[in-house]
Amino acid sequence: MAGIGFTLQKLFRDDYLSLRVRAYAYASFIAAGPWMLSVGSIALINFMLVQFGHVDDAQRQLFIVTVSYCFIFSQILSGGWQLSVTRYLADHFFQNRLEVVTPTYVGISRIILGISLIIAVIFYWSSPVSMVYKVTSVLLFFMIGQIWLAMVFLTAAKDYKIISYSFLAGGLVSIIGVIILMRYPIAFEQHEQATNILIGFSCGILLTMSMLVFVLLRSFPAKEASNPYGFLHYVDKYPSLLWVGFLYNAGVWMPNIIVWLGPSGVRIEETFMYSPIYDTPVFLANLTIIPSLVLFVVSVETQFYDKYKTFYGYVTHGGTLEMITKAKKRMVEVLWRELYRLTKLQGILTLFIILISDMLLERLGLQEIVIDIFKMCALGALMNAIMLINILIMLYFEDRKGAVITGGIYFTLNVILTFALLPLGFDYYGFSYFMAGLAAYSWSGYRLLNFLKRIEVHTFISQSIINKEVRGFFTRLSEKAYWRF
Amino acid sequence: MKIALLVEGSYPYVSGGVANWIQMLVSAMPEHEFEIIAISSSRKEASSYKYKLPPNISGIHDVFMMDYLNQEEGKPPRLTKKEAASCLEWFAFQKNSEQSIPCIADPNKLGNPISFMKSEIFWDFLVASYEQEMPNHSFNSYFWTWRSMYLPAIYLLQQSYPVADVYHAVSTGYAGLIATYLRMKHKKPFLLTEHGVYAREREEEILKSVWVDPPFKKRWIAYFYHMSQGAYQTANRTISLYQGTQQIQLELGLHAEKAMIIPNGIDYHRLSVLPRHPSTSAKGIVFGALVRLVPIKDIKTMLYAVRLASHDIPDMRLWIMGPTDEDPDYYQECVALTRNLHMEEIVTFMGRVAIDDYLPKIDALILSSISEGQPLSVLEGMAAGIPWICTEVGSCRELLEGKDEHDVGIAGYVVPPVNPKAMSEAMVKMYTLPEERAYMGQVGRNRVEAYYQIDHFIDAYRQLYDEVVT
Repeated sequence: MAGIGFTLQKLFRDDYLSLRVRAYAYASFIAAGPWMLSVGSIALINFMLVQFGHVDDAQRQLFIVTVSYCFIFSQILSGGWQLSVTRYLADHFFQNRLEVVTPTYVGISRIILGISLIIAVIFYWSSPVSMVYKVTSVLLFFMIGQIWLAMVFLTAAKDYKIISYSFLAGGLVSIIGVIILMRYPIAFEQHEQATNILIGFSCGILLTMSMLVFVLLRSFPAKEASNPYGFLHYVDKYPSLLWVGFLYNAGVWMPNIIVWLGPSGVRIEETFMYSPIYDTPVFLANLTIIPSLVLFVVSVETQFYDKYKTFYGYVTHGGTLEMITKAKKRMVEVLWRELYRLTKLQGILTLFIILISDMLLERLGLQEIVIDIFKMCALGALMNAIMLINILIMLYFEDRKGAVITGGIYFTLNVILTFALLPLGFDYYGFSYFMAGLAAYSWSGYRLLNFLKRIEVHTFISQSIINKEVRGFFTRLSEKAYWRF
Repeated sequence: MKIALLVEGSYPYVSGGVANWIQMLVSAMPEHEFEIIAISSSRKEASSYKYKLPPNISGIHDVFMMDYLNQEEGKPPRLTKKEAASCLEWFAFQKNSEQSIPCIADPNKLGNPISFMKSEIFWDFLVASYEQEMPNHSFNSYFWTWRSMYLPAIYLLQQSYPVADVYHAVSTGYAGLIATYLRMKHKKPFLLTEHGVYAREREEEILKSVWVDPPFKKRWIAYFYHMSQGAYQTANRTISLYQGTQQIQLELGLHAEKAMIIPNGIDYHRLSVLPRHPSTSAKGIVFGALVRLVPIKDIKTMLYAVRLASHDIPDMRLWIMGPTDEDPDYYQECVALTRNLHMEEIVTFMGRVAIDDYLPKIDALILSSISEGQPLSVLEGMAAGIPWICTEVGSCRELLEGKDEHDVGIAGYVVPPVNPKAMSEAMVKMYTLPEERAYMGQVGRNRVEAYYQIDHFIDAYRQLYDEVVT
């Protein structure tokens, strides 16, 4: 834990580009992290409740749906900000201005808390669920959002150990909390069991969040002077980053939200919509791509990064065209090789999982239709992963436009296709997720291929467009906010 | 008629010879409407008018060169093979390639400047030129050179400009380039007046500069010659102030039948009736300088010369009359130098004054510039009957010694620039020969009366405007 400051120092001796690339790479690690955490812990608790708890199904489902909602919507909310904040931090680390970290964290926390609160109030406005349950779940919603956020800041410090510990400790406390509260439940008038489980679970999340925030505040001492909303300026400067984050995250979840409205949708407590036959396979399928996202971070670090640095070094530090072209060739070769390797690995893995899924998931007691949907969603998740990797590579090369268009295609097709295929019945569930992923992946691959062919041209032209200080709506908003709050 | 004056880094934001000339020209022709197309480097420099605009100026149309930095990508180029080839000719500084300027200026053809630079056709051309010129040099520097060379030009060409009956550029360079384009676009006449020789001035500046990477100097210089030659080719008439600049223009490819000389003119009637109260040699001598305090005027050489001359002239004065706010640092340096040379008794910095009050008391005037065109101040001094000591720059020799066999007599001494000793000798000579001073003053007065009156210059332009429009 004491090592963080030291790691930072080491990291910041690197030049600006490397920092940016790594920052985006960790952003992808962060993208994988939530899956592990959310799906893993929900699955585990669900399994425990089914096996050992004597919980009636409706109460168990209420809990599971509540937690799923917290995860899904906090991700859409904070995922959008992730890339902008990452970029903001990378740029400031480069100038060795670590003092912005804490104020920025405070600022964005407030923003996300504000938005979360509004959404939660609207959501629960006419819901018959008990007040205790509402308050607990909204607090959980807040905390999970804070965890995503703190991770963005902490991956910059590259201290995975502490992140892992806090998740493990939190997970452990969650389980213990649930067990204790199942045994000695607090009495509630309404859905007693679900409330107790939720409180138990929240204890663990609270611990995780507190640990992360504690480490964060200790690693980056706060300075009063800077504007906590300063990063909003980046939303004006690179609006595309906000869009990419938002479109991607919302795109992933749109099919679920639409399916809830379809015939398989179930309503719980007149509040939560969910689709047991669709949500479960999607959660499980999205777990299958963790290996490729982690592998991606590793291969960027070990293979690609040096070539990238050499190329940009020649571009900015007086290389001849011959040197630049050679470096480009090497870099692009390595990039395609690694992408190919990654895609192959993940493809084989996904196929293998699909093959054994019948056997595996039947054991878990899932229906046949759910397993079929899972197969489709696993392919969809594969597309999702390699598309996300394409987006990240585009961002390395400052092709923000390409990244936004990819996100846009992904989001739009997920919405349109899911609506279009809904009447065709359960057999087609998950198909839209796969098709949207395939289309966005194909387009991004095509764009990347062409972009990389002329990467030196794009690099020269875009490095030469001096970033003028964009003062848009968000910049002014940030200044106003600074004086008011 | 409506006349558009294309001005680069001068009127109405920067005072000086060219700007004064414009003020005179416009004020003297109330019958015509003038619009100023002012090309400034950045918005900062175009903050306040240095002149009271005459009522017949219908507007100042500003364009800012540095705004090209705010360009984003936009429309891609849509050029036919033939158009593309001819555009590249202009970018390659080929002779007679001005024909492609309207195509470069059309965003629907060439596309937005940044997108054009990104286009394959331009990029391949850039790479080929690089391979040819300096394949072992930093490509990044090469690219930036091209960028800062071509983007401002394309950007300026793609701006919108007012329509007028005559386009009159008062220099080549970017002003000349835009006038070239407007002449082709609107098929209206284009007049070019050069006070100095723009390309030559840029060349000197680039050779001396530290901010241009030495391997690129050649290219930059060639670029400005290329732009100037385009203007000489397309202008209906190219006017210079005196023989010297015309000679250079002709060498650069200006056709003799388009070349004209219209010298500067000043208000002779006002200045020639000023009384003279010259000192006698017993009372010493008063020297004057009518000059803005800026480095190009090389005031320091004058101060050193005064120091040297003061050994031989017992009671000497030097009055330096002119604005001191243009380059405050330089002014402070001059004041400090005066102090260090212990000449506070001799030298007075008077700032901006009404010269009519002081000229009668002055025995001789001094100009120590390192570069000039045809200085109005010299003409003013001559009209007031005062002899001059001038460095040999611009048309000073022509003004003081006459331009041909019909124009004889000496109105002052010409000395080499940056040579305090030569200048001090001329000052001592002035001091010792008071009768010579009176004679030279008279010669100067007669010369201005004959050739350099404001009416001559205004009438010449009035006639020229009428001629090209009909």
